[in-house]
Amino acid sequence: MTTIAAFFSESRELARNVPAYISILRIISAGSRTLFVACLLVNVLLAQLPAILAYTNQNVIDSLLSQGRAPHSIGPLKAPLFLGGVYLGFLVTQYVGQLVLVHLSEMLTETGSKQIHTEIIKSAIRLEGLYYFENPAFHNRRSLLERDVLSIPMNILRFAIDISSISVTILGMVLLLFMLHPLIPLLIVLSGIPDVLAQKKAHRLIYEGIKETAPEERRKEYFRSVLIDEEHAKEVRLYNLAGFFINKYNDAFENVLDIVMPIRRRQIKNSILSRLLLSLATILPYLWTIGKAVRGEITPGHLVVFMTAIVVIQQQMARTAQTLAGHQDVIYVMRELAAWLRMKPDLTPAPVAVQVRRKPELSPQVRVSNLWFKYPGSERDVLKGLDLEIPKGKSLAIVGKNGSGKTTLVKLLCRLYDPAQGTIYYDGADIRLMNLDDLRNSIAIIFQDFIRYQFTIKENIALRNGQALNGVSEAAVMAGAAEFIEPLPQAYDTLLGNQFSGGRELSGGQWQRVALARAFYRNAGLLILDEPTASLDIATEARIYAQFKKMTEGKTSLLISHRLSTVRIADHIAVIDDGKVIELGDHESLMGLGGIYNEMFVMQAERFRQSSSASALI
Amino acid sequence: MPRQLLNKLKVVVRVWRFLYKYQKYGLLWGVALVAIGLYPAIAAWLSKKIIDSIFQPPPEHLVSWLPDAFFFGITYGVLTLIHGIISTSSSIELVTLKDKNTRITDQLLMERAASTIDVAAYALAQTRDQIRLASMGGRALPSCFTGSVELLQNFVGTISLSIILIYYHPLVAAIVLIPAIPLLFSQIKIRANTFAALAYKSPLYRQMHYLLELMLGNATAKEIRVYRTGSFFLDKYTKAADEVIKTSRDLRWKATTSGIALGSLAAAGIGGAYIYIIYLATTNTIGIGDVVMYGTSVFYAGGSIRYLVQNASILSAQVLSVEKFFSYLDQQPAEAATSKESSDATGTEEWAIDNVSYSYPERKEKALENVSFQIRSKEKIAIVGLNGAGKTTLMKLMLRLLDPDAGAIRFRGVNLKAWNARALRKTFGVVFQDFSKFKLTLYENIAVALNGGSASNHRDAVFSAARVAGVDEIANRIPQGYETQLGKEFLNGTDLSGGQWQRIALARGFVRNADVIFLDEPTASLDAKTEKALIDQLMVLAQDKTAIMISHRLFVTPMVDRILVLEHGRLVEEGTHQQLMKFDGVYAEMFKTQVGMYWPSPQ
Repeated sequence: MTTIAAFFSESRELARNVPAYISILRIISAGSRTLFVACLLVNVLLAQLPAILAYTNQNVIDSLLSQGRAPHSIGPLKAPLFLGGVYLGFLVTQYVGQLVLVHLSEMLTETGSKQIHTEIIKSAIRLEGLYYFENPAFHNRRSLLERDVLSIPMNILRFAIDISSISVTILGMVLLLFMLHPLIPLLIVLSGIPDVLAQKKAHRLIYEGIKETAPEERRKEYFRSVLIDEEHAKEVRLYNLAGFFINKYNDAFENVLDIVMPIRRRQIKNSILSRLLLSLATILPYLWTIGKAVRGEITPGHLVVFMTAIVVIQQQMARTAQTLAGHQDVIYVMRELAAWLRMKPDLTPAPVAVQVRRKPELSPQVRVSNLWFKYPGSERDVLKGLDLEIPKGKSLAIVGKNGSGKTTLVKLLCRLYDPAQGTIYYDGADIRLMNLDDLRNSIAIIFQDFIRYQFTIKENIALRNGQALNGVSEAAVMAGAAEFIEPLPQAYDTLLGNQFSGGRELSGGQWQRVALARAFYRNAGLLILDEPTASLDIATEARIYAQFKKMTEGKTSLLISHRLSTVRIADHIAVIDDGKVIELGDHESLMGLGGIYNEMFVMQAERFRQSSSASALI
Repeated sequence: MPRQLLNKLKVVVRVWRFLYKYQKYGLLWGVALVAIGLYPAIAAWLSKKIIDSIFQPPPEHLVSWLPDAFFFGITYGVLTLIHGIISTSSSIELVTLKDKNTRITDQLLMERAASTIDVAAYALAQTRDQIRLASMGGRALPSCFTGSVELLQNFVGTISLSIILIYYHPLVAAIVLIPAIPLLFSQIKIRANTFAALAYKSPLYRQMHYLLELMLGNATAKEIRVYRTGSFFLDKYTKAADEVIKTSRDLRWKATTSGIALGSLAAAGIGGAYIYIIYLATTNTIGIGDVVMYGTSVFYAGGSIRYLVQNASILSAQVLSVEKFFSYLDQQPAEAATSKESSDATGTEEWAIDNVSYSYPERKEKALENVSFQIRSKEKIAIVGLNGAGKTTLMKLMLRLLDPDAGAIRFRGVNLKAWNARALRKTFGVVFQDFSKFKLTLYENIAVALNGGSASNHRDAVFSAARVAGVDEIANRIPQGYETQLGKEFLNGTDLSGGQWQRIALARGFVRNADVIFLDEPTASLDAKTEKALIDQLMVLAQDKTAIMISHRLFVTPMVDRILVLEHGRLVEEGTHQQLMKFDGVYAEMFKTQVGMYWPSPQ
């Protein structure tokens, strides 16, 4: 009874997987429909060959025997040597067919891989906000897909090919056995089902197990990468951290095994039991067939073919079970892939009809009104009713303690999140109603942790292909980067970074200037600089200080910096503390206020005043 | 060719020895699987017996109450059962074997990778490629094992079948086996070419992997969205993928065409053998049972040889991969033969940098050129200069993360190269400019400097260093305090700001309470108030330490004992703040520029 119930539940399970499976097969075949169809056709044709070969064999044997009795009463078509030739022909076809199948499926795997990766990437790029990136489940799924993404198409294809070839082969054999007795194929197939079910159930348990172990797997891979990648090389050596991370790796591994091993043990036990059942169900008809031959009720040819068919069906049933068990990972990954591809956008774009458009190069008036925000999954409000305004074409500097909400404000200005309460206006328009492309293109930003692309300098600045050099070199000059770029042997075509051979690593300050050039190249109306001079040396900082007015001329700009020497030349300065603006004005007026700004400035600058006067005494 | 074959065999033997060392039970399964390779031959022979006993029954039964046919039939059934159980169980067991094996190979790889001393060589692209190939090789090891087992199984099957065929009629054996030999060799050659192509594709794969990381990663997400660069990178990815496909396509075409030619020959050979058997039957040289047995054997041998060829060539590729893993492990990292654990030098000179020059691998220009200076014990030194002057390089040389090309560095009278690396580094505390933000807990991110900080006396050190650096403020504001997981990728992870991370890096530098402390831009992203508090604290804490500080922020320099000024890799000025201001050179200009930005003179 439980077997019948299991049969239906597992079938439902299988049915649920089918849509995901089909959609992924569709992606794999997208680039090359003919290839895909050819692959399937060859596969199906090949799968019929075993039955055909067995049938030919039967005829050979029977004709050999009958030839002894009446050599000329059977036409040449039945002559055993001729049949032998036919057999040879099919054998060669089978061999060639298999090679062709391998060739086609490998081609399809590679093009299919590219298709799948492209879809995975597109699904991620479609997400306009950062909400998903906050979620560990997203990262679980992402690292699983990244790890298995090369093998997915290969395994999915092989799965499809295996299952279809098994089905056709079994069908062929069943038809042959039907001649013996209709019950026999039924018996064998039915007895194979508990084995298949047992394997399927085991696969599902493993699937659950994999889901459970995914976080630990990721941690394990992280610890491994710390020691192998070169990002952490110096601290690993300095602090001799090999043992530490290896222990962590082992702990994570043990956690994974603790979950997985009991499942596997059960799987072995179940598969032994079900294999016993299948074998018994095969031996009985087998012996029964022998009995029939002993009594002379069937010819030797028939005996051979029936014996073959019984054995083949049993093998194929076993192969089904193994295929299902061996491809449990495939099914799991496939579902994760399907879920990934189904990800819905996290930011609601404004409906096209009411969308506000703007030209990116226009400098906006920016107004922030009563902004409240906390990160998803966090209890703490980061912004608590922030109000701010940047007049059109003017510069505003924001200062404040670490964690006071400065970078968060910047992310909201880019609409990477939507606030819980309050609104941001660009030229009086709510940015939530704005066309998102226009909004983002209106902003040129240098984040505190800007990206150092392992590409050429030109690409690092323009972030595009094949752009004319003019715009790039102008931006580089403005950023103070041209002076170290131009002397290089390949100038703007120099490959940066040490990830790829031939790449040149830049110093921190040089990278910052490249990032500045990137921002200038964009020609956007709003310029946001988040700690732009943090790793710049004095000479470069001085130059930017001198050029600040020129750099920000005509643009609305927002500057976040701890270097109050840079802050002081902004048109307006806002002091943020605990998610709110507490002081606002320009440098002179804030110094006159004698409040927090005054205190911070004096703290940073007094050493110079003391020291400069001390040196003046000498 | 034979030498290559011998080398491959050596690798396979090494794989088996590896398993013997680490996973003996795996070997047992391997042996069991090889043993069931005998099954096809026995099954073929049994089928002959069954047919013969039905159509040409012998005079007396083997078992008196059972017709022979049934006896053989039952034997066949039992053997099939055993075969089935072993193959099913082994496939599950082998998955576990694979997992556990991955742990072992990963561990060996990690240990080996972390033991190299020179960080610059480690960062080179060809080292990265080498490690990547070694990593793939380690992960291929269990498949290499199972592949060799399958191959042996095939081999046993083929040999046992051949014995049957040769015993009854040698010519049949020859017709079947001989065509397979050229097929075997051509497949192996093709696989080797494929593997070479894989090495060629490896940089392409790395680029694709990098692009994938850019487009899907957490750290890059915000910039990609604001700059709308998603499609630009997707384009690059597509181009790399297309090139990979093109390379494979050319190779594969060659493989398939030669495979079809030679393979048809092999299949024809098998078919020909079958026809020959039929001919023998028509001339009544052999009986029906023999026909069935030969037919089954020939058919099976053909399939067996094909699998043999396939497995051999797949194994060949896996062996090439695993070889990279073994050869990487075999490389010895350069560690000095003699290694001092401590120095009994007396006297106040702690550091002597003597005419040191260095250029980064594959770079022509010198990062440092003929730099010489000394540092006394407990002295406070500032190293200043513009970007690219060589400050960080100098620090890495002093930490012995790099070795100088010329000149020598002596610490406490002993050349750095003669020091035991571990003992040496224990005397240093370091705050790097680009410090690592580990995805560990807050506590662990500080305690890495104490090798994890699990010992009991470590906790006090960690908490006091945290207090000094202002980290306890941070701990109070995050959900699980010091046990909070940092980094959003893992469950319950919290992100910290740049400034918060900087304070953790500072705590990391001080937790060891080491004699010598290196600080590379320790306050670059701190706000004014925190910065001042920290600098004051630093001065107090570093009182009885030797402190070497790299900084753009010249305002600490008046407080240090001596300033070293680097320009384009050379030491150009040296002295106290007063001396250098009087000298009115590079340093004085830098200082006056800073003053001018804070206190611009009235126009």
